This record gives sequence, C-alpha cells and structure tokens, in this order.
Amino acid sequence: MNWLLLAGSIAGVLGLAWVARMLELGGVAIGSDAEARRIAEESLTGFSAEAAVVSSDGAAALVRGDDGSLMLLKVHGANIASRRLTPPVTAISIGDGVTVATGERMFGDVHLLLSHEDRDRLRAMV
Amino acid sequence: MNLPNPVDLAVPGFVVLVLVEMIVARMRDRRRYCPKDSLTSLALGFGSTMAGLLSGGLIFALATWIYQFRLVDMPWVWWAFVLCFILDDFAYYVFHRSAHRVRWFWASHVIHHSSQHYNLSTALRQTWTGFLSLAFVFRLPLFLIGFPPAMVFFCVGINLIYQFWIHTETIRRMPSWFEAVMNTPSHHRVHHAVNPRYLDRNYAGVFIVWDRMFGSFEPERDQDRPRYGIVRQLDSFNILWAAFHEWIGIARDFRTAPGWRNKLNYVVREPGWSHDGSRETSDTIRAQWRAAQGRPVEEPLTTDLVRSGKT
Repeated sequence: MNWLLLAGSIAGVLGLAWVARMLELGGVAIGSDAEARRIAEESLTGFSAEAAVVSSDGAAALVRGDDGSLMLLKVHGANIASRRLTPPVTAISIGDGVTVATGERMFGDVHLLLSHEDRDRLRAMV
Repeated sequence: MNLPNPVDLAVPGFVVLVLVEMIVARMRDRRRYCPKDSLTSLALGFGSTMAGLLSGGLIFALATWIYQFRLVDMPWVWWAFVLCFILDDFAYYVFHRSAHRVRWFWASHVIHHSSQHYNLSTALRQTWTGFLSLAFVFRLPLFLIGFPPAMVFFCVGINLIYQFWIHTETIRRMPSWFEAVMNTPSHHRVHHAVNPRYLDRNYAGVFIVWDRMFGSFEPERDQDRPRYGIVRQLDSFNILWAAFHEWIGIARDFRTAPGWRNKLNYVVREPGWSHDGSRETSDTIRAQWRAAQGRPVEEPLTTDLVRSGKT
C-alpha cells in the first residue's frame, strides 16, 4: 500500500461517515410499552415480558418478565441493545428520572426520563 | 506470474456502492444506516487492512515454503483458476464454520458480526487479529496440492469482493436458480442474524451449495425478519473494544476458570460455553427456542417449510 492509497482510504472512511451524517441516516426510539416488551422478548429467548416502563425520550426502557427478571433496553445508534439485569438491581432517582445500574462498564448506567407516576411503576418493578 | 490485487482495484467500487445504498436508505428506511456505526465499520476495515499489511508477508512466505512440497504442478491456465477458486471457497466454508464454533477463531471473527446493522459498510468491518487466530491455516492445503500462492491469493481477493455485495437489505431475493447455487443477500442476512432459528447457519462465502451439502443451510423467512449482531450486543462504537473484546473475555475466563481442562475449553469450545453452564451457546438458545415452539430438538428447521409447500 502506498501513501496515496493510505490517505485515500482515510479520506474515504471519513467522507462516507460524513455523507451518512449529512443524509441524516439513523435514528430510533422505543415508542411504547408494548414495543419495549416485544424488543425484550426478541432479545432474549425464553423471556416473557409482563410490564415495561419507557423513558419519555424513547431512549431506554426497563422491562419485567413474568418470572420477575428484568431487562434493560437502551438505544444504541439506530438500534436497541439489551441486557438482562442481575439482582439486586440498583435504581436511583436522579433529577428528572431514574438511573439504573448494569454493573457493566462498557454498557454503562442507563438514565430513564420518567414522570412521577412512571418512577413509581419502575420502583415497583425493581 | 504477476497478478494485481483485485481488492485494491475494487475499493472505488465499494465506495460508490456504499454511497448508493446510503441514498436508498435515505429514501426507504433511514434506520438501515447509522453514521456512528458506519464510521466504526469503516475504521475497523481500515485497521484490518493495516493488520493485513503486517502479517501478509509472513503468510505469503509460509505459503511459498509449503508450495515447495506440492503434490502436483498446477498450470497457469483458466481451468486451474476455476478449480482454485472453487477449492478456496470450500476452504473458506471450513474456516468460517470453525470461526463460529471454536472460540479462539471466533475471537477474531466476531468483529465482523458486531454491528447491529446489515449494510455494505458492515462488509468492511473485518478482523484485526486473523493472523493470531491462525485463519490462514485453512488455506494451506491449496498450496500443498500445488496451486501457486499468487493464484490462490488472487482467488481469495475475488472471493472477498464477491462477499461485499451480499451485505445488504436493499436486495430482497435473487432469481431462484441463483439462490440455489450462490450465496446471496438473503442467505447471508440469515448468517448475520441472531434469531434462534438463524444462529450458526449459512457459512458460505460464494457458493451456498456447501451449506446445503453439509447441513448448515437455513432459508430466510419473511415472517422471521433477521435481527443482526451478536447474542450479547456490544453496545459500543469503540473500535478497540470491538476488535479485542472476545480476546479479553478469553483471557479473563482462562485466568479464573477452575482446572486446566476448563481453561482449555474456554479457548477451544464453542462461543458461550461455560464450565458451570451459566452462559448460553447458539445450541442452547436454539434448543430453548425449539422447546418454546413445541418442536423436537433434532427436527430440521426447514421441515415446516416443506410441510407448508414453501420449498
């Protein structure tokens, strides 16, 4: 590989990413409790969703299974990533919502924007 | 004989096709692309090229060394290229199947599956550690048979170029005769999917006939839309994490596993294997899913397609 090809490759990588941004590609949100439950069930075989609380910006959701286990959903790019939470689950009210800890450094803690009513629902789930 | 590197020549075509697919995504479904995800894929592809430059000389030297023990002299004629291409594609099938069934190989290959998107930029998300996981070993028999290294690497390049265009949701199905013989976007969507039905299926590079011959074929179904990525989604656009996370996982498990047998199993068993059964492999996920569907564990997944007259 010569320097021209190297520089061209780097320019190509950055250029394509820039085009994707200019075209406003991507974008996803969890639209409803039902959608959160469906995504959770698809993410984990055998998980049967019973209830869900969705962040008001659609960026995250907490889903409870019929066995009491919990799944945390989080928007990742234009998709949703999920994690099954290992008890005991830590959920702390901060500002306008609740932050749920996953115990995973790369996944991170997830903040859900919630009304007071939804905060109570979430606490009941945890 | 001096042959060009076909991949170098194809790069401008890759760029143009990615642009076209982005425009189609803009018109049909913007969620098919995510700028951060594409940047990650393209950066990983660039890193893979750099890693290939470092290891390529060693692999070519090894190939040349093995070639001196060749059984026959394959001539530089068209049919030798065709034969080489077919056998190389079979070697790719064996490599690829191993890459999904042996964690040491998977640690390199997982990078290609780590995106939750399926588009042409995903095709460029390639390994940085192929040399470490000994991926080149699977092609060594070709040199021993007697195919010149330059011919083999030319065929490898053509194979790689073919696999680029099948990473798309833009093309739904190809003509049935083509779907029967060749790997297609539909077949390869199945391969990248994490739906239990689709896990560890369709390993083909160019010819899907290998999967049909060796029982690893699964057709795509419209009622079970593929969901892409890995069973435990990465949830990160960090390219270093994408490139090395499974290697880090192997190191952690090796360090903490009780006994040498378990330590070794964390390296050579299938991804998801654990000594205490606390994790899930594709086999256990599929078995759990089949049980939920009320299917016998060993019943072929395609059976109900045959029953319903869809094949």
